[in-house]
Amino acid sequence: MVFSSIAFIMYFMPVFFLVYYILPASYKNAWLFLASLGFYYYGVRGNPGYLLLMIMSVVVNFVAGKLIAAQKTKRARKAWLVVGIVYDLGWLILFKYLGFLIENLNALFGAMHVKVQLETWNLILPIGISFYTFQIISYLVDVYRRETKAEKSLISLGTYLCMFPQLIAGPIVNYHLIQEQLHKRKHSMVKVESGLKVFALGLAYKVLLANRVGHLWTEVTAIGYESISTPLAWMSIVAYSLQLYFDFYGYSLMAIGLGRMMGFDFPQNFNNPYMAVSMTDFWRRWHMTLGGWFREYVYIPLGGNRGGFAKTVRNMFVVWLLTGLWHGASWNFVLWGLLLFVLLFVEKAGLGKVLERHKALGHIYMILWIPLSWLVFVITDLSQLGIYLQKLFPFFGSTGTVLFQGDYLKYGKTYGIYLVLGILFATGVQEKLLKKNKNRLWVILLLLALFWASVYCMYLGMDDPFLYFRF
Amino acid sequence: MKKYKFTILLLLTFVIAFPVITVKLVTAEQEKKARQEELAQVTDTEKEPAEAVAGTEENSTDKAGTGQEDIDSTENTEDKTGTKDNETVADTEQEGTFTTEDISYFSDALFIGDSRTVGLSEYADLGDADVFATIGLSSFKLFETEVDMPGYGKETLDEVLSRKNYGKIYLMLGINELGYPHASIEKQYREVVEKIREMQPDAILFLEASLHVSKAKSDSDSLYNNANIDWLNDVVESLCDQKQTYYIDVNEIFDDGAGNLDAQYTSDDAHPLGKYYAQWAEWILTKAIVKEK
Repeated sequence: MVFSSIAFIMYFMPVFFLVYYILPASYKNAWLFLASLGFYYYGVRGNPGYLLLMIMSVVVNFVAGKLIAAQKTKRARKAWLVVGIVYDLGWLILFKYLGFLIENLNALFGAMHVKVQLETWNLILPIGISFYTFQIISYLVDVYRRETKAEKSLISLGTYLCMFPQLIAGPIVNYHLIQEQLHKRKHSMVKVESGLKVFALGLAYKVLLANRVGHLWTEVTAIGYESISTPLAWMSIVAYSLQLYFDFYGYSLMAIGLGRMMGFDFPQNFNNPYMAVSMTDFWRRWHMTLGGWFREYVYIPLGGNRGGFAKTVRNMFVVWLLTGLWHGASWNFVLWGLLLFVLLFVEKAGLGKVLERHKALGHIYMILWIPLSWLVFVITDLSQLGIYLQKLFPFFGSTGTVLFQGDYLKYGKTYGIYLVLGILFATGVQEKLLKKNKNRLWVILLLLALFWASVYCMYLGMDDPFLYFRF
Repeated sequence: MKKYKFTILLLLTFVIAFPVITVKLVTAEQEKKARQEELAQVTDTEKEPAEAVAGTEENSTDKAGTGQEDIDSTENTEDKTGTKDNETVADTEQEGTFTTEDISYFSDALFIGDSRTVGLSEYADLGDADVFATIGLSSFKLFETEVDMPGYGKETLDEVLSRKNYGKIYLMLGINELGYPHASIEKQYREVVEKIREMQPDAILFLEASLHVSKAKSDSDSLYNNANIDWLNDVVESLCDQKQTYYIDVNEIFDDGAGNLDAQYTSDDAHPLGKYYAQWAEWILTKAIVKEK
């Protein structure tokens, strides 16, 4: 169940909050935990075993956390930490990376003329496993570092790991940031009002903007990259960049809004990333909780930037390779991670300072690299990526023929408005305006209209067979 | 209270919207079930009656029936040998025989259709043909829809058909209708064909089969699947007399051999990639009918 669905907004959410607010404080976590399990079950009902997998993760890590905390020596603590992490990562690797690994091993065997072919695995990835695995590792490490005590209540740990607002797409909340709130948090009407507004805005970003503008990318993929013109190629990758941002940002806002309605204070996940002046800057503003996780649990444990230049570069390399792979098990994600590593390396070596000083230059640099890096991210087939790049930069030699010369005019007519709005909103100007006038009636009515317009679109998209797929 | 305006307004509107949406969802669910049941019946009974009909056609030595057989076999040999020498088979029949023509054949043609026809007009060479096509077009909306016709502005199909006498009209519709009850699709499609026929009595009418969807889509979609599309195409084919109205089925060039759109030709499971539309248009030219004057 996604937040932008009729089922969630019209049924799950009202019932959940009604019960949540009625229950006394000491039962709220249990209800949140239970409802989250229901929420998850609805999402994985094709593979009910995945619900069990998540519950097991709570139980195993609850025990592991206690064991880590109970050890007297650092060595013993570390041993239990490793056991816990191996358990957690084991499942992630099994579901997410084993198929990719076997595929490549088989290719390698083939190339070396070894007549061994391993059986290929095609497992369906349990929803949210990439997120909850990282969250639970943060718990174990925080306990290991004695930053926090081991959780005494199984229900509280379960609530932390499974709570539906951030179960599927983050934000990744590190345990020590939220531990106190798990046990004691303030509920208030002010938070409800503000949470609902944030939710409505996020929903509108997702349904009214991301879904619309993203359709251009779908259409161009259906045509095939060989057959599009250069202007259309640029329009489409910009459209994809906007879709990705407003989809993910919208989802994060909805999660933050839901959290706030329950008294939680989740960390921000985006800070106008497309206004960044360098890739380094960008990754401080994009999916901030993922970057924060990698910094805290990979980069700094590896030594961060304190071991000299060579070590810093090595640590950066590891972090960006893993960041790439976290997004998906495919070579293009490795390539994407490496591209980011190279850009960040060059910026660290000096370019970054220049870009920071000359902001205009930085924006131009990023206007180029934001869509290009997402191109490597979105096209999983490397030969298709090559075709697309040649479409973007036809002076490097062209491929395929443009069969439909005016294609960009046609698609510009349909998508131009969304592209313009998307670019405008990526600057964040609308949120400044909303914030400044947040108690004005027009803002409230606007958000209300956006909310119901989104619901209406969801309704059309869901149950009207004449609209959800049109030939 | 003033501080919680949004919450209050949202709750008030929710109380109104909730029953409305719930009722709509429940009725939509019921309709969906009814459609699925209908489809289940169709797929259960489809096979035998279809064969039975073909049988009676042959038994009654109806010329349309045998003519069609001839054309089918011609197509097959064409496909295998790649030559067009066998076209004399049906010469003695009253029915027309498919020949291959060049692009000028389209100069007095009109294409009517949905997104697939839009794709043809954009990514293939249709010569000087007129195209009345738009995404989502269905036979139910055909005569209400306005399409931008180059040089004439927005026109309805009525206006287009009244303006000019076409030598041939290609019609490819039906897939967007699949959400409607089958009986009404059949009725509506027949009426559309009759109306076009009436307005353009001299045109050769080509009723095009709808393109299959890929196996992945077909297997996962209760509506837009190949069982439904095959049902539709059977309806379309049954309206053809092979004298004035001809059935052409493009699936013969794009199929995977098991009745699905071959995955290599598509990336959205429903439309051919842009570069394959040219092949489609060339194929249409191999299904030309030339009337002897």
